[in-house]
Amino acid sequence: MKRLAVTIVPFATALAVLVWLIPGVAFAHGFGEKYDLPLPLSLYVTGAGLAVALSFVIVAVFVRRTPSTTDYPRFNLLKLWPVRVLASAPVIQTLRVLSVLVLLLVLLTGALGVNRSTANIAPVLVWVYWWVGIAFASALIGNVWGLINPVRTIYEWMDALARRVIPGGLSFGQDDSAYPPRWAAWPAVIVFALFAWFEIAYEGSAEPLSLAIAIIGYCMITWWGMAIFGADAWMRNADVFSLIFGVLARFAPTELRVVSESGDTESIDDVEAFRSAPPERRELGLRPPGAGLLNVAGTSTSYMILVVVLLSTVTFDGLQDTPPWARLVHSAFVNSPGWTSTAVTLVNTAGLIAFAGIFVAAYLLFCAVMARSGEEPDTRDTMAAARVFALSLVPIAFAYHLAHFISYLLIQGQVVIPHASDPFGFGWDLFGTSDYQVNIGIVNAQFVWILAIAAIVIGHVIAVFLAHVTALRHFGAHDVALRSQRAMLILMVGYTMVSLWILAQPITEYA
Amino acid sequence: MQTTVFLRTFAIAAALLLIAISAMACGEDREPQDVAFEMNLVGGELTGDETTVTVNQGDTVTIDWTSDMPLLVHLHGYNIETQLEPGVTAPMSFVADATGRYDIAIHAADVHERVIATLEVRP
Repeated sequence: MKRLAVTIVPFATALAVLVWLIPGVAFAHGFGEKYDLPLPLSLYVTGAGLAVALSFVIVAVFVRRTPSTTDYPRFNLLKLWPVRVLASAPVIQTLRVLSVLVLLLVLLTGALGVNRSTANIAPVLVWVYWWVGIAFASALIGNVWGLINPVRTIYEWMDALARRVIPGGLSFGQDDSAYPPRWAAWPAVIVFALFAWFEIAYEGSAEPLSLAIAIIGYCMITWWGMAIFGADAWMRNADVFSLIFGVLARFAPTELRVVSESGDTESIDDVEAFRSAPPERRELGLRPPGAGLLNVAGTSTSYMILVVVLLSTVTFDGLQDTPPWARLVHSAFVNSPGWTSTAVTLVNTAGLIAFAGIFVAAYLLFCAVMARSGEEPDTRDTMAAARVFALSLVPIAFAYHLAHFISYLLIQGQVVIPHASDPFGFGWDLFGTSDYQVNIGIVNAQFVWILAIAAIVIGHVIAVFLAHVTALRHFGAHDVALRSQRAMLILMVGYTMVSLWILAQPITEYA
Repeated sequence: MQTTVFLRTFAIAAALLLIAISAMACGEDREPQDVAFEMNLVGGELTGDETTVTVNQGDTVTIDWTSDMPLLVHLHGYNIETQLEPGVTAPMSFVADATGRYDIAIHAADVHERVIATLEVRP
């Protein structure tokens, strides 16, 4: 019985969701348009020049001196009473209940409301507030998803109810050590591949009903995982969104830290350990941005693949809106009689897979070059280098993501105001806001451009810095570490240039 | 000590960015203008080659539309709809107060929504 549940439930769920989605209704475009003007040439060149120049400043600094430690300054924010109030159990509990209510609203409106992306509150809540909003909050504030994840909260409630009837509750009676080590983060990689396809390639991704079904599919897999392996083990190792928002939260200026009774660090950025630690041993540390990306001990190959594939989808999402991609799609299909939205989905699917492949291959190639600098058998290993350096690319990806989505968040985020009065699209006017017109002038292009350049240059600087510190730690010898970073610097400058180039392209909706 | 390195690099970055930003802020100031464009559609396709209408923020824009078939033209973002009838020039007028790049799409009973042109409002 247990073995049956282990093997069949997740695959049956995934299959059922896919079968449901394939004949889905196609829309002219996904949820919410982006109105960004392309970055002007002068700023594009300024940004590129600054990124290259500052890279050499960092290299020069590292050539002259060897930083002796990888520790960083931190300050426990829980020493301040307003933060203590904000982080107190009743506040967190209220946030958890609210986040469960929002999830239930999305499922209800998705299942019962008018099934059109513009008529229903579900798409804006999922794509703008959850996917873009939580990603921004994770990287700029801290690991909020780990604390309010409604899928986990619902599981805990169901488990507590079940315990009144069955002694073991929902769990299959195993402890956390039952999670198979060789699975590592592979379940997250697989679910992320499905999610990325749904978000970027599938034309019905903004359709409320598809969203509700996809979310239920995800919940089934997650609850199954938590029941089999324990909630903590599943969230820490295998849950895709805990891992992805966790990666971004490592960039954040705050860290969840658990200290031992003697005051030593027991864990950093480990939500599960933080949740189960006694309150007096919890610390909410303030740290330099990006410093958390240096805590890479124990990173697995699957985790590295998850990070690199995540970066590839962030870039492909932008590339998909550029004229060269539109021309490629156009030339592939314009004369074919089978020119349908299914064909576009197929091209985007192929692009998504190809891009993930290109990113992983390029990254491993540069890691192979880096590893050739190594002088010991374990530092000459390409995969060892690949596992250690993956997180140092995250600041470049997040900076691009911020530049690409800031105006989308501010403009499309307003769509929630009219929908709050009419969440199902039935023509209600609960709060008198159903006629609200989105203010497209809320953010000026000039502001977005300057923010974009600032974010990308700063992200690049942090990334180059992190890679140098990581190299010193990984390769040991100072000259070896510096030599290894020539390859990494080329990779990072190239990656930053690609990000800037996409921002300098006009956004096109291929018609 | 790494913090010093970090902060110093940041200071350099901030200084250079400030220079770039002030260089941009010193750009020329323009007076808002009245600008007019003509767009002709045959069978739902633009007859001219120019598919991008470029204006400056604050300009008062008029696009005069003509079409050989009934169509609904929709300027996204500004959210303005103009109904076109054969033989009638239909003006679409607005003040371009929000910067950005906005699609102009056509809708008709038997035509799938399709983007035919783009409005660019420069800061």
